[in-house]
Amino acid sequence: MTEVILRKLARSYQWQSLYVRCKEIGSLNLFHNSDDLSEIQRRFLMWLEIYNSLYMDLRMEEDYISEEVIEDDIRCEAYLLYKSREKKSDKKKGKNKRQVNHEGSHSVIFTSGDK
Amino acid sequence: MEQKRNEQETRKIAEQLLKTINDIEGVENAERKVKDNKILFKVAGKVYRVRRPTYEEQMEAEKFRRKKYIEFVNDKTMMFRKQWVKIYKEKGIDINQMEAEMSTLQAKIELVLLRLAKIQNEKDVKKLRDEVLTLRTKQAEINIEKTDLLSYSIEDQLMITINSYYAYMLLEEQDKENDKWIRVFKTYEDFSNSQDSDLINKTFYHTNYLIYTTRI
Repeated sequence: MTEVILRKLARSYQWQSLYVRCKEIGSLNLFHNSDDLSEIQRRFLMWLEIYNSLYMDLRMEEDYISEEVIEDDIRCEAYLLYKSREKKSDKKKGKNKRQVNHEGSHSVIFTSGDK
Repeated sequence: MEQKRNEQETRKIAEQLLKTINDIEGVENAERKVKDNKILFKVAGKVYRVRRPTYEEQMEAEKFRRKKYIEFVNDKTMMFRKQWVKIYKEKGIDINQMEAEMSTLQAKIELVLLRLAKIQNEKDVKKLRDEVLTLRTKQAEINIEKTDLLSYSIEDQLMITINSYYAYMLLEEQDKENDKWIRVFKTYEDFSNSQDSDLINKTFYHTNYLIYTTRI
């Protein structure tokens, strides 16, 4: 139950704007304590960052993201999973592409005498 | 007659626990918990707090953990998780199989989530959301059963004991005269023997939000 409330707080306008300001102005503190974060504060920070990136995606008009998705915890998870899989597959494609390029180009072998 | 009384007692405990949780939950309370690394709460009109452990207290808890670990290992009535798993298997309960089922359910959940991510039609969204919830419930049921079966293991008992010790160390009440916070219980034994279940339940609940508890 608390995780649901924690996420609701993290995506709220109040906390998101505070989070953005704290990121911009380093001297602002999110919490009363500036160090020795509690377990719940660490988790809350994680959700603040996640929702911050989701709102960023929304502004960038990325596919499959909307206000409704951000407001719904399960749809939000679905979007995050989809995005992480996309990232992985892009990385894999990039790697394969680099390999093909490498195979297609002339290779130069450096030996100790090539200095 | 005896069974009826036990049922009534169980229901009473469940109701009390639910009341404790309802008292504690809520956005306002969550926000208060998030803002500071100390949590203030009331029991019977009196203000208490739990806070993060100091380095010395962490060392004290580690010492207590080591002591308890040796005690548990030397206790012939106590067994490690692996030993319980083996015994259960001989009795026809396969915990490894339960873990495999949970992994299979997780893979299924992820497949449904990936379909849900690309869907916008309200009817399909609802259908897939419900599917995720059903699979999650099944997964949670298996997890509860597994946790319950292993609750007497040395690892789980040690974790409960160490959580209690932290709760004892971190629970404080206000000494208004001297303007400072002092420990509520003088010794761990006093804490363990306390009859104030509301205070103890709330202390456990809040302490959990403040500290990391690691398994051995």
